[in-house]
Amino acid sequence: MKKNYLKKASLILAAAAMLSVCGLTASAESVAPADEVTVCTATADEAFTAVYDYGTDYDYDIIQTADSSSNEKESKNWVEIILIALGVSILVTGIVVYIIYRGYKYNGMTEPYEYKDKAPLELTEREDVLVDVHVTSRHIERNKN
Amino acid sequence: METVSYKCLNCEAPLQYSAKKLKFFCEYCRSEYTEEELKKHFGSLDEQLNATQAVSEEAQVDDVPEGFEDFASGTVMYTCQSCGAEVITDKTTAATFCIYCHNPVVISNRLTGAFKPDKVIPFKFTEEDAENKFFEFCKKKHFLPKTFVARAELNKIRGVYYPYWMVDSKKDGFIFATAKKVRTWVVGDEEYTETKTFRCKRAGIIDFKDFPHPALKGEHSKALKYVNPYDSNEFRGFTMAYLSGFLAEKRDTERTDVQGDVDEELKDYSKKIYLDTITGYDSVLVDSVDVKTLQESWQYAMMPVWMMNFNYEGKDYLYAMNGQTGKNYGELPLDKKKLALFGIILFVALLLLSILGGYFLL
Repeated sequence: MKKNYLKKASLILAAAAMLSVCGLTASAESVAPADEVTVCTATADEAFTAVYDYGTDYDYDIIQTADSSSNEKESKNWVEIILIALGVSILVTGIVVYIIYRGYKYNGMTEPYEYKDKAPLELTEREDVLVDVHVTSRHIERNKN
Repeated sequence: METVSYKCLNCEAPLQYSAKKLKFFCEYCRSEYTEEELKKHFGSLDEQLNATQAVSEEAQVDDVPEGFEDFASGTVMYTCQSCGAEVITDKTTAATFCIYCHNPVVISNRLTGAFKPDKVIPFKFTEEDAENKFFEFCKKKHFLPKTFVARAELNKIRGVYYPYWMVDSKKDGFIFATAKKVRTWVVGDEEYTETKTFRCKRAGIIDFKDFPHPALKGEHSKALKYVNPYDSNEFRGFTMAYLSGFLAEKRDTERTDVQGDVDEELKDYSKKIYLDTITGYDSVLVDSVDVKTLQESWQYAMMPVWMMNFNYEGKDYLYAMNGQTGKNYGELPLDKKKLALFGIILFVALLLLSILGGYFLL
């Protein structure tokens, strides 16, 4: 029985893509779960402020909330990066494999008639008439930071 | 059935056209002849054959055994002038070899009268050149199955003259198109986009020269289309001697059979030619195109092609090479296992690179 390796490869690629998303998302969550955030994951300034303020009855809950949201943001960024990387990899791989496949299947299918050399044109009429002009505008969002 | 063998004037051995020497030569006594010398000796033979009308009802194979009627209806028998053997060919074969003594034979009444080609382009690549070019071409293909590249796997490459209709056509036509020019600029926090729409018209006369269309139906028609283009400056007046030593097919289509296809193809080319004159726009959309024929002439030509058939894992493949320019056409077997592995490696490499890139940009 003839094996269809291309089909198998695309299935493996799809499975790899799904596994990567699941696995890497899960690992991102287990490394930095929002509920177990400590000052260690915060930046140096925040850590210093937390330690310094701990002994002076500073409201610890406020710092903890700020750290959780920053970690959530970080893990969200990771998921975004992985998803984009997966998308780009699948797309580029697909295009490259298709181009190679076409090169074997339709090798040499180029223009069979050199019309630029063998079919001269004698123009008798040339007309370009402006029929419509319209202008649209959009507001550019500037980064306020 | 009448056959012709062009024989050496010195030793009577069959003459063949040499693509390397661009002369006719005898492979036994090594004598060489130019086209003029050959015409001097065989010219009367060609004229005599050309004066006769093509035989419409050719000699069929008699005494057909039961169950072989379909085979027999597409075959014709001739007698080899060299060894006297009876050889069967199909209905479109115009030049071949005797399978017993390998004598090159031109089946003359298939190339006379209405079936006499007007012009021919002789082979410029020898069999060895064609084979080397094929293997060079294979070397560049990294996903070919390893076993395929071994020479033993391939059938012999063969030089065939194929029939083409060559059309000269003067067309008068026009095109209407909608073209757009887009300009963008920024003022403060506002980006402005101006779109100008133009209605374009181009009209003019296009003089198509030597437009080729295969004159043979069947599975090879696609290959015959894409081995083009040929250099039409090298056309020569047809003489049967050019076919000696090669295979040749006679046309099996009439002008009326392919007129519709040729008109459609020339209309498509007209559209491209008119569109090429609409420049300076960001986008052009064709609204309508129309062409009418002012003048047209058709000629029947024989063009050289090196052909090779091969079978890989039960599938038939065809490789064709333009016998004048060396252009390749054909489907090649693909090692799908190798390609799949390459795809997986490429995917993993890209994925890692993208994640690393993302990590450093974060």
